[in-house]
Amino acid sequence: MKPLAFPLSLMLALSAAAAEPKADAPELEPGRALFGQFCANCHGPRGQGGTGPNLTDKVFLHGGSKEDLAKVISQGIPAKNMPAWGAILKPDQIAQLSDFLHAQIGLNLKTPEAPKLVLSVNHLPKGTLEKPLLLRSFVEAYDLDPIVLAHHGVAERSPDYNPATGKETPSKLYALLKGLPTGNAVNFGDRLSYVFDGTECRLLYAWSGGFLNMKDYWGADAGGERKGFNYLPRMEGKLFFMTSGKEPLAITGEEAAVPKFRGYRKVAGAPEFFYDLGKTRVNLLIRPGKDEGSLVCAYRIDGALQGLIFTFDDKVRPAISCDKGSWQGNVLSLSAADAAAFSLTFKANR
Amino acid sequence: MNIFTTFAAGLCLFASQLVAEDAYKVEDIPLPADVFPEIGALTFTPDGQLVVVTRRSGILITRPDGAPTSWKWRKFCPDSLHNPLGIIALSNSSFLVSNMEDLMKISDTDGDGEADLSEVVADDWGLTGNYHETNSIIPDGAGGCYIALGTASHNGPTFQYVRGDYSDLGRRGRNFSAGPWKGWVMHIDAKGKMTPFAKGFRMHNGITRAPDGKLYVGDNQGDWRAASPLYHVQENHFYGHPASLVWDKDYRKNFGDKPPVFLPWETIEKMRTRAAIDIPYGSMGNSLSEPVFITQENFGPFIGQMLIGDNAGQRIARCMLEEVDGVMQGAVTLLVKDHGLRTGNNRLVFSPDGKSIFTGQTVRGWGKPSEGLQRISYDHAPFAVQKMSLSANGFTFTFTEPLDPAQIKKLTGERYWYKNTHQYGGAKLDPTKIAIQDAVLSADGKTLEVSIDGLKTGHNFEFKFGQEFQAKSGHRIDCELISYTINKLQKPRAAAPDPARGLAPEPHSSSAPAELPAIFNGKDFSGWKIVGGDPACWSVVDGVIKIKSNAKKQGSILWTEKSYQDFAFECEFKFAAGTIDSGIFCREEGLQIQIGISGSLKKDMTASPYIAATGKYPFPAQGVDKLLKMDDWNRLHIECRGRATQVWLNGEKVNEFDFPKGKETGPLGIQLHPGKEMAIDFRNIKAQELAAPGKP
Repeated sequence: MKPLAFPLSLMLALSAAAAEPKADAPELEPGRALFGQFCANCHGPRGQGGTGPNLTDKVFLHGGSKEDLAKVISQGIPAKNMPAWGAILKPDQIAQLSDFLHAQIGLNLKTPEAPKLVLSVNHLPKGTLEKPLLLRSFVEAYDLDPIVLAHHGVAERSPDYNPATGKETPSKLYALLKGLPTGNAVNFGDRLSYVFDGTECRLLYAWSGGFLNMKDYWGADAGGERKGFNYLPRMEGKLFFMTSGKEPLAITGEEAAVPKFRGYRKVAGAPEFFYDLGKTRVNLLIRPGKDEGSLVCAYRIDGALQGLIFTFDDKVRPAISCDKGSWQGNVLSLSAADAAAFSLTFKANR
Repeated sequence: MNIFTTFAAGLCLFASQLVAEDAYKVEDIPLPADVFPEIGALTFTPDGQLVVVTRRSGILITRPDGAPTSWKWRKFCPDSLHNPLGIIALSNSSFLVSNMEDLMKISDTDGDGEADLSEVVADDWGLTGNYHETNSIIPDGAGGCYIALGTASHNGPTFQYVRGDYSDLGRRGRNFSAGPWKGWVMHIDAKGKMTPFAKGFRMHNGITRAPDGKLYVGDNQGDWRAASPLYHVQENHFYGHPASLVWDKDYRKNFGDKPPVFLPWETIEKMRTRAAIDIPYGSMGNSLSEPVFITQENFGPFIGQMLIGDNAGQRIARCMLEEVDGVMQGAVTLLVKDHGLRTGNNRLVFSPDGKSIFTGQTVRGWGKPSEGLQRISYDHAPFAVQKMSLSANGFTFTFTEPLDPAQIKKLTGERYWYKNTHQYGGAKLDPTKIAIQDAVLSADGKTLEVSIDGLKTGHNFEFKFGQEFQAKSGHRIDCELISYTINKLQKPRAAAPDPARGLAPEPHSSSAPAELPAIFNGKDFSGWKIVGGDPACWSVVDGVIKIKSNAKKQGSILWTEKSYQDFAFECEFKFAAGTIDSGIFCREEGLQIQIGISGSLKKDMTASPYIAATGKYPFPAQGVDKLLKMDDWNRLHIECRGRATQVWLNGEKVNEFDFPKGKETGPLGIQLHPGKEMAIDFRNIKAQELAAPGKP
């Protein structure tokens, strides 16, 4: 291996420091080799920084002594994605690495500019009225009434696990995130956004003036890395409708069935979702209503039916009108003929 | 390339440093400016168009003719799908796409070039809201597909509400399986029906089917993955990451309420099937992704071999697999490293003409972010190991061109093994210099037969050629490293066996048998079938199978529906009445471990093998008379690995022998011998497919 061509001034400065081996001293070779193999990918080939911090300046967030360095190498910094190399490297290798790194302190190599490839992550995707955007994603569970999520499984908090020791701390439980796994979010520009849940086969939320901020799940614009560990898109804008209560739709003469999401087709660019309720195929196209803060659910229900009944929750009923059928309190009844094609108009319930 | 990165490159030198041209050229493929180029999956349509599935920007299609900058791209599907990581072309206008939450058939039904119909084909797996639960697919050759479902990471969350069932036992540990089928390979038939296929995976991000139909996945280093294993996926096998076990229907029956992550290391080790190749971490592959087979001559001299991408390294590995003693294993080296290749190599697809391979990139975890599309095209054959295979006393290296004989002495090597534990990753253990005894070059200079001391199963044999290693032509070796993983040794050649060199077949484990899963439910014959004779001779009473001959003394056999290759079987039997002649058939009717009185020998031959073809008991068991209880329950335990068989009676090993050649796989059976007036009881019947012995 050729000696490193460091600037002369730096070499002189370093040689003045007494017992510490020079940054390019031959005895540091094993540590240098390990660095190349395990660390350079993130910290740059010469430790000048990259995804990981510069290791040649004097800024050490977790301490710059050999012992500190060895500790960080061994245990990692999980929050910053620094792996715990103690599982892979032997103690003497970690010591070689920390010797090497310690000798690099003060070289003050310049951290390179971000790589030329600019990762193009727009964390604020949007559609338009003419070209709505369907984004299938995790979505927030927000303040939904639990009965709305009747067909979801329910997680339990499990004990915190220490991967280094392989042991659990029974008194410390993982938090559960208020998210839903099978969201179909649709955006028509500022006019309307909504979430149709693929497990409940149900409209959950409608809002206007924004869509989803994907930063926590997709990462920020620059770099494209995951910046946080919340992993949930955030709804942005003004929430005007949120559903509540039991699944409202029942097929006359049929027992309540677990809804089964079957897909979607595009109707003038907007998704028409289809799902099965027992033997009955339901098609649902959701589009902005005439007025700001409203939407229209156009249903097409195939097959020979006796009719339909919607039983809406008290919080939902005032927001809904229908172009067909008859109302009795919160209950909307539709004949077999009506069921073939009808529309519910939803207005704000918040 | 500065001197530091040369070192960082992990000891691999490539042709361009030493000769004018790269053997494989890497070029960037620009995507349209409005596309976020995180590549989830790649395929070609039957009519030769390249299909690119992106993480955020839907599905794009182009015809890759001429300069990549001039390719016309069209948006086939504008939807932002949820982490789509698999695609299969059904036609020029219809595709199976595996999203986080479902397998969808996405089609353009009106011929305008844009998808208008997306139909769910299958979605019978759980979803807990964890970013790590991604998947990949490969056609099964019969209109369906296999899907690899990754586990969740403890660095990510679990949602309060999940899709499907939730398992608290499965949620435990580092990488976890809180929702159904995480850590499994599942089969989805042409109608969308999903059935379990194999388990024990961590993050098998990429699955392929070889031309011969064998399935392979690459897994990612982490917990229970010391390095980067490439697995040959076989039905019902378990591959060592415990979390997925919780969804095995027999898990609670066998292990109760113990979270799988806390099963004893020995239990997991004994159950697991080893990697076909343990790809060395650091130098060859850190996060394996999609494997593909080279099926055309147009990609150089490596037809039939497998390429596999590294999601965390600027390299594509090349694997040379071979079957030894019924088990897949082989060598790995690198096809391309650096030379403009980015990291994040997530998906690979060959162009229809086989001349180039496209690599779709995305990196989302730790490591250098990377994304985009690149193409690697064959230019000329490098000087490289064309093939490395195991011989009876070492390895055979075949080179792409004649070797300079003076180079042979530069060859060195190291033997080591990896231990998979709950810890993230693992070091190379017991590294030992390989003692090369002899190296003989063939007359044409292309084949080098290397004899070594210390061939051993469960180990990697990693050879290093040295940077100056040259062909006769002066070309330097393309990749300096090559590593072979031994699962099975070659049988010594009959002509020159040399037991002193440690070339004997793999020694049997003599350790006490471990607890096996039950295969008899104690209630009925589910999972079994009675063949021949009179089914009325068989009944289940209080958890016991009662066998009693009928008046006609007809024989019959109770067979498992499942087939076994290498297996452990256990049962308890009790002589009830008459002249007992029963036994356990091992994979076929011709090979049996006897229970009771031999009709021919007129004496008890329990625990001895009866070979139907010869009508003989060539390997009588030892010490049975002291162990066998005539009026109480006896426990019989059988382990078969290949032909090698061991038998325990009431906890003591009583026999060890090799069955003669026979079927490699087949069901296990309990016999009611014809022509006897007898009754015998069986209970606590257990069996399991075995991996190679745990500790190397």
